[in-house]
Amino acid sequence: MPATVLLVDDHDLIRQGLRRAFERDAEFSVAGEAGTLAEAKMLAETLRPDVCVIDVRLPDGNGLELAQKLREARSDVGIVVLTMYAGDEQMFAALDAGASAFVPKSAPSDDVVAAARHAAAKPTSFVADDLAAAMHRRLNPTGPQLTRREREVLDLLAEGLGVASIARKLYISESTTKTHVSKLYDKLGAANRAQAIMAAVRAGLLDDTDGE
Amino acid sequence: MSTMGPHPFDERHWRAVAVARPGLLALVVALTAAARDDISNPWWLVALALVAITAGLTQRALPHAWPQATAEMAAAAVIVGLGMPESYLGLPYLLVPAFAGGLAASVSGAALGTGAGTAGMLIGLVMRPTPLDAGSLVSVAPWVPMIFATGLVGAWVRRQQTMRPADVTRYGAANRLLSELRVVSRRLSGGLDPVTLANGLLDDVYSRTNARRAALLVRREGRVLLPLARRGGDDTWLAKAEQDALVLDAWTAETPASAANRRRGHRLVIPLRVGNRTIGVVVADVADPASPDELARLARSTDDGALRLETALLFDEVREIATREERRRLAREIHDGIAQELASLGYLIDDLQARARDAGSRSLAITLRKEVTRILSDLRHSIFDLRSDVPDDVGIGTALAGYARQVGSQTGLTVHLVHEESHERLRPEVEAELLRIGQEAITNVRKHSSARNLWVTVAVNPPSARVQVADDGMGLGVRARDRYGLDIMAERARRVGATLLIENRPEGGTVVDVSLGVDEGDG
Repeated sequence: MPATVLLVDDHDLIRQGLRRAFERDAEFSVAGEAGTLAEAKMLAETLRPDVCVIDVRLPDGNGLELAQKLREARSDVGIVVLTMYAGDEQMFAALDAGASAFVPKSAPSDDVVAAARHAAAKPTSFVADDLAAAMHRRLNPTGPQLTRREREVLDLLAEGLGVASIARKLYISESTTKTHVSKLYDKLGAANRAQAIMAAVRAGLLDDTDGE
Repeated sequence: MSTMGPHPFDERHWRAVAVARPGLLALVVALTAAARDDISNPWWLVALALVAITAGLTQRALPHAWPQATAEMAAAAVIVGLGMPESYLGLPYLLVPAFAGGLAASVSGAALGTGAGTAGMLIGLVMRPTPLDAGSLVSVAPWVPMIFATGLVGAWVRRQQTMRPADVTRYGAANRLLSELRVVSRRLSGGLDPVTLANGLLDDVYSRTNARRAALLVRREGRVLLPLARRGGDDTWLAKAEQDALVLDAWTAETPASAANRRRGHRLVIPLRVGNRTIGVVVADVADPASPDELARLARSTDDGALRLETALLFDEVREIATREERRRLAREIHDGIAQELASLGYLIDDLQARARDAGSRSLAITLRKEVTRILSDLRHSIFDLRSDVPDDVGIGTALAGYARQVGSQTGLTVHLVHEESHERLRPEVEAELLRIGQEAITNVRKHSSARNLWVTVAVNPPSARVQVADDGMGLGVRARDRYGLDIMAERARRVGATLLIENRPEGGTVVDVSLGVDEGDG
């Protein structure tokens, strides 16, 4: 028996396009379409679809609000959030609302169907294209912020220089250099020089493609 | 001020008084004529006519005030009192000076008129040769409250008219200012540039006091002091200058202050005053203490510039608010309009691709879909750019770094960030423009350069700042088609007084460099 889908988007042509995409797939049948939040709430209750595909921006409210209501009511409903907005905030908002998948509107309709397939199978997990990178960005909101001096010290550390040589090169005392190095380790979350350099490369502070 | 004189509204009501006077007199005459069988000697009518003529002439010759109205009331009341009971018919005339009294001096004018009327009638009644019967006295009594009520109507009319001209005047003043501002901002772009004005103000103080170092700081809502201009010395002293008790003293007292500096020389603090508010301070470290006279002279000379500086800051702020609103609107329009239509077109192409029987049309549909997806991604980025602001709690460096990381990871660019921000902030308008220049530069790298690496360097040390966006892509040659984007960047830079430099990177690729008030010897 094919999974039933409810399409929620205020643009007719978008709904038509998605309907055709789902109808091409034998696993799905489109149970209904809604152009507003109110309509969607009503249809979701009467039709009890397996999957809801919801646009974030609706004329009478936010699609994420609907996603949250649906999730609170049913743990087994698959929720695919569609959006035209770019940016991590949208993705995390969808995750928080209890969505099962997050798809940008620039993606082909097959991606929406694939996301719906995942959502039907595992409604309480979450998939999105850029999820890993976005998680990384969220955990390190701005990346380590180095001062000019720390930056110079980091470059010299990466070149393999010791504290004494760095101090000579920058015309500063060894104890000052040590302070800079320990601050640098703190900021990069590293315990030693190798870890610091690895962390700096990961954070984009050092160019690992350079041969030097 | 010319607005204190009689106002057109004012004149209109007085003209009504001038018309009502002969009108009521005519009414009295008509009433008397109708009752002529009971009238023996209408001398009082002649007297009332004389009073009316005198009052009419006085109203034309003199500025409108309560003494005339009171005198007219008193004279008419005495006549009516003397002529009773026949002059009972002349009572309606008293309403004219009653209204005029209220019009001239509000409620107190109405009260004064009623008082004068009552007293006048009593005097007249006492002075008459034969005492009046009680019935006539009772018939006069209701006229007293009627006179007072008419006075109150005059007072109410006066209130209406004095409120409206005040508003009209204010709007008029605002209108004049805004029109002037528009003309000024069009003619000389430097005339309303806060940075130029601040530098001019600071240079004046700097040269007159022979200062070692000096800075001009302004305060903006909810923020600490923002440095607008700086001369001499490095940046570290500014942070401490903000918390200097001397600065706070000068600020709250609105008077210039001077004190010996701990290490050497003296520190002068001159508040920038607009009316009775302080909008900022000039802090100068000098060798010799300044005399109170000298301080007062400095303060006076900065007052004029302070008003101009605040106007320029306000103008900038208003422009930024308008810009932000317009960008939001544009984002909504793209989001709800063309972007959705393009997305549905994309789904249509997906359908076409799925139905295509032969390999040729299928590959054509795939190519078409790729192109639509690319344009849609660009639109999504545009919407994102149009909606992003510099948040209140983090500076431009953090905001631009976040943007670069987001865009970089979505497009497979390796992003290298260096960002140094002092705890001081730039003005919000400047931050917004720098963010937009940075976004535009990063967008260019993403779209056109085929670069692998993106370097974003942000150094903020208010009032100086520098944003550098570099890539290892194809360089400037291929960017000719994006001339428009470069022009917009240049326009934004000009608006905040920054220098924009776009050049080929020696190792290949492009460097976009925006710098703001970076003085020599300061990286």
